[in-house]
Amino acid sequence: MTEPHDTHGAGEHAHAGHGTTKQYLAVCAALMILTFVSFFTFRLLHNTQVQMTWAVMMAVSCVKALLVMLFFMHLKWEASWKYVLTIPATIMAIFLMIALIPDIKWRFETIAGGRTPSEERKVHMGYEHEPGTPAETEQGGGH
Amino acid sequence: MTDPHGHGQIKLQYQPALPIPNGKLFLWLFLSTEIMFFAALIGVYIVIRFGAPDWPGPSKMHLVELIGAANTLVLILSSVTVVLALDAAQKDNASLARLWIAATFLLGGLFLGIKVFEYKSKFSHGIYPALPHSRMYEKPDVYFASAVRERLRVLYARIDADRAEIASKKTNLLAGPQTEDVQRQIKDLDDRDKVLADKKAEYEQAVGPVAGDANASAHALMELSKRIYPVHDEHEKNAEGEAEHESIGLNDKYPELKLPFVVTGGNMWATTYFTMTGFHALHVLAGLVAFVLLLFKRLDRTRAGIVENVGLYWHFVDLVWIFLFPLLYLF
Amino acid sequence: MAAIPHAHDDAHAHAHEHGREMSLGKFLTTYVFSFDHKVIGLQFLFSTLIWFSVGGLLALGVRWQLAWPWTKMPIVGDLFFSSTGGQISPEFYTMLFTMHASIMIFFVIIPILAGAFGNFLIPLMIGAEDMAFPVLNMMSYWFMWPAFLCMIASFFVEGGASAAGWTGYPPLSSVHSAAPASHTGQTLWVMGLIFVGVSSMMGSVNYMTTIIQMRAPGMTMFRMPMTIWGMFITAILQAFALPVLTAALFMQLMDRTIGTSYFIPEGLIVNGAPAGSGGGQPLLWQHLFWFYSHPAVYIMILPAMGMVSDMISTFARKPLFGYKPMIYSIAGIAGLGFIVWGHHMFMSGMSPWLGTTFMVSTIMIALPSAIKVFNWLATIWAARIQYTTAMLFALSFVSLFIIGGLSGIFMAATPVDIFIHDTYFIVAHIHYVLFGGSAMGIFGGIYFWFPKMFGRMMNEFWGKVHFFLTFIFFNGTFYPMHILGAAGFPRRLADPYHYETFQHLLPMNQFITVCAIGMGASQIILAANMIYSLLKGPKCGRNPWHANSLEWTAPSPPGHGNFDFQPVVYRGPYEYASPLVDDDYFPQTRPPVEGEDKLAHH
Ligand SMILES: [Cu+2]
Repeated sequence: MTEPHDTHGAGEHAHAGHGTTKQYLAVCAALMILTFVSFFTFRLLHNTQVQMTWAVMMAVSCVKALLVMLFFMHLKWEASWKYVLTIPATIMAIFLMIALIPDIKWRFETIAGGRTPSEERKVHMGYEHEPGTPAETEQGGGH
Repeated sequence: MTDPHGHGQIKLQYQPALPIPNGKLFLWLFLSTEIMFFAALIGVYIVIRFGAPDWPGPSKMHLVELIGAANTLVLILSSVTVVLALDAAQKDNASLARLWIAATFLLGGLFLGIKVFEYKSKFSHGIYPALPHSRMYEKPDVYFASAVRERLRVLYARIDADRAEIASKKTNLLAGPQTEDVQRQIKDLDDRDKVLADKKAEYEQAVGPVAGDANASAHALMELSKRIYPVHDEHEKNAEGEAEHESIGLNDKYPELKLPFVVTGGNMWATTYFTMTGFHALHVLAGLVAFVLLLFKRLDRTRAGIVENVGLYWHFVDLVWIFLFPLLYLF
Repeated sequence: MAAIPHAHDDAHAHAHEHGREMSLGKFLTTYVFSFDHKVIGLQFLFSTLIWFSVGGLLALGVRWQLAWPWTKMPIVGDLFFSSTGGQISPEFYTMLFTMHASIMIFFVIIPILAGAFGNFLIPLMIGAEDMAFPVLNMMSYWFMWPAFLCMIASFFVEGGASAAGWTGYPPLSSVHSAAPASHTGQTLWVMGLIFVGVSSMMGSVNYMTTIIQMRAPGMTMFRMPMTIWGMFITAILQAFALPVLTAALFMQLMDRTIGTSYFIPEGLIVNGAPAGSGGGQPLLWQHLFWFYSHPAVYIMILPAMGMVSDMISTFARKPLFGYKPMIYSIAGIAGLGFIVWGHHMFMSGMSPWLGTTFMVSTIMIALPSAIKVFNWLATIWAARIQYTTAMLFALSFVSLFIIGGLSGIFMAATPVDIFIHDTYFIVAHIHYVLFGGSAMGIFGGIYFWFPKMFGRMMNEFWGKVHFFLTFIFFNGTFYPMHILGAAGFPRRLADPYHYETFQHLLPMNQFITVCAIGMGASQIILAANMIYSLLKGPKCGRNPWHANSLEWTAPSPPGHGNFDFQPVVYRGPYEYASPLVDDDYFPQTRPPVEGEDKLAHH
């Protein structure tokens, strides 16, 4: 992975700065607390407010990811190249996942084999059945 | 031709666009490709999971959230140790850097160890993908019923074969001289035969008549599936939010039965769980290999770049787990 | 800086003389496991050209069956089908077109553009001594070999090579019992593609690092030749799109080997038995596959567009018209390329709303493509064109790309696509773009850079013969396919004449096959020309075409380290017919002349 050519030109890059041990430990503590936040959200709320727990846990995960990137990966102290190398990948990754999301509805409505989700499951998923669209559900069901 | 190596080569100068070493740029670009790889895995998981008519909760799949949380903590700690290793290397403190790298290696190893333990507990319950068909069935249908029959046929045939062998041994012994020793052996055989017969009777009693009945009703099959693998619906939890675990399935009671069982959505759960954690574990493994290679080097200031790059990779592995943990254990 | 020390040419010749009696170890490190980007590029070139002939022969098998259905196929008939009197089986036909497409796309066009030309040209054109990571570069070539072996082996396993189409749609490709070729052959196909993917990924990250960090002093991003821009954008496309395909391929591999069921739907019954555990979603494969494979069509054309831009400007002896718009349109094509993949799935049953979105975004790609075409036309407008073989191929690239691009707009429209889907119209389109476009660009590139690669000129007369035969037979082969497609002639059927509707199309198919054989035979001229010129071609100097870009200031062939002087760049690569100098070209390295800064374009 590493090559002797590292020494060229940009090789003498100055460490613009980095955190202190104290900072790292504080970030570590924050990450652990956030992990427990996720965990207890699950324990306390998962039975009653599923979608709420999903939102909380994803938000917590994003904060954790940000902490890791900013402090452990030193992005906080890097020059503006950090945007060039992180934002496109982030956008593309989120875009790919968003682009797949319409398939959830498609899949929910056209499970091959004729099984439809139980009403309970639909409520659990926050899925509201639109009345008067039954014909749509038969598309592609003939696998 | 001024080059001592005789390549006729001169040292060329460049105009780099970014103020970072090539290795670091490479690593960030590589991480971009890795982000897309895991984005595909997670995107597929989201579609499969949230579009599924049914999805088993963690307790149904013997997934312990606390172990997942513990593993998260292990990875977070290892991220700290690797960043401290970089700090030490930049301060030219090679021995301290090596110490931190060794600590990171151990924590990564611990993570993998816990992962292996988790996998084993799934495997022992018959939860894994398998060709041509895993033991897990989506619904108690005719295919499930015939799989149970087939498994019981194999089991009973084995018991019957053992009993037939015992019987033939006994006949041989009865034909010979009836010494005291032989008498004792015959009694032994009788005992073993009785144990086997009892076992078979117990199985038949436990599994019930449905299994042998090719025309069993849907309701009877449902009852059978519940006897084999009692499903705790994730909504049937008591007030404290604890799943009720008191009902024990046949497969737990008689581990040697290994009957097919029904978990709705279980196959897709296994598919995604093993793939995502598996690819993550492979990345952890690659990180461990990198740490071992680092341990053989003097990690002074000149090697800080390498430590930094390996560290960036390791933080990425941590990042992936930060998203996988809630998605797989807590959703 | 400008005075190129010609004495070094002799020194290099001497070094090569010396090389004749090198030891086996030296031979291995120089020509086999070499870290040198030029050697790796040539390794890619020759490997892919060999695969080109394999893929071409498979296509001729397809054509034979369509022209003379169920007659004895030459060679293949005697070898494999002696029991049926040389008549191939429908499964064999399916295998032929599947492997033709898979090989041409994954083993020829992509690796020849990025692997061969990318490797050879990137360091030379930006003024670097080598790639940023030579070892990684070598590995990216050697990772092709497991892929080669998987593909070769798949022809000899039980059930034959993959026959699920180059798109490998599940469940046909995921379930072992679905078809004879869905056994080991399909597994090897998946593994081969994974290796190709890993190879391309290593290459793309390496190219990006090299282009970003290792440009010669003065070589700003907007002084790079279009070839480099094409390669750069392609590398970005690969970095973002390829991991998604790799993930999908791993999922299919696991569906096939360890029993996951990503793409196996619930309740699927194959040959009377439930196929796998089920519960997955076949449509997901289509999404992931096309998320890569639509950008992949740009991976297969953007570098060729860049190479053609350079050739056209060089031989028109005029600056490339609209250099920056060309770059922006390449970037626009690449960006739009990520949001159009659904146009391959209009028939999949997805929501019509989504279909409309994909239709609109697809048609929007015509815009940047048209900008490029107009810029090429404006470049050759009123030019005193030098009709070299390379230029002829470049011009044919432009004209055939126009036809292929226009037929692409037809099928981008959902209502039209519903009719022409899975007909020969699609086949005509893909070949106008991939053969008429990319392959013509590649041929042009070979004629153009051959002198730089080997230090000898190719034969121009036979080059032109090769060009005209290829061009005529190409149009004879693929133009009638538009007519076939409009008539509804289905692709991927071993015997469309089974349906009475299509029986009257047999003579046209026979004409196509004759042309296809002619086109295949014409390539022998190229091979002979290359081999002869390699050994006996007239030696050339550093800059036989009087071109501007950096690679022409290096020795031909460049030695280890590429440059025997420190290249410093003062201007863009397209300063032909500049009023400032007496020559009609103005190399990037020539020091500025008086009055240049007043005229500065860039
Ligand atoms: Cu497309």
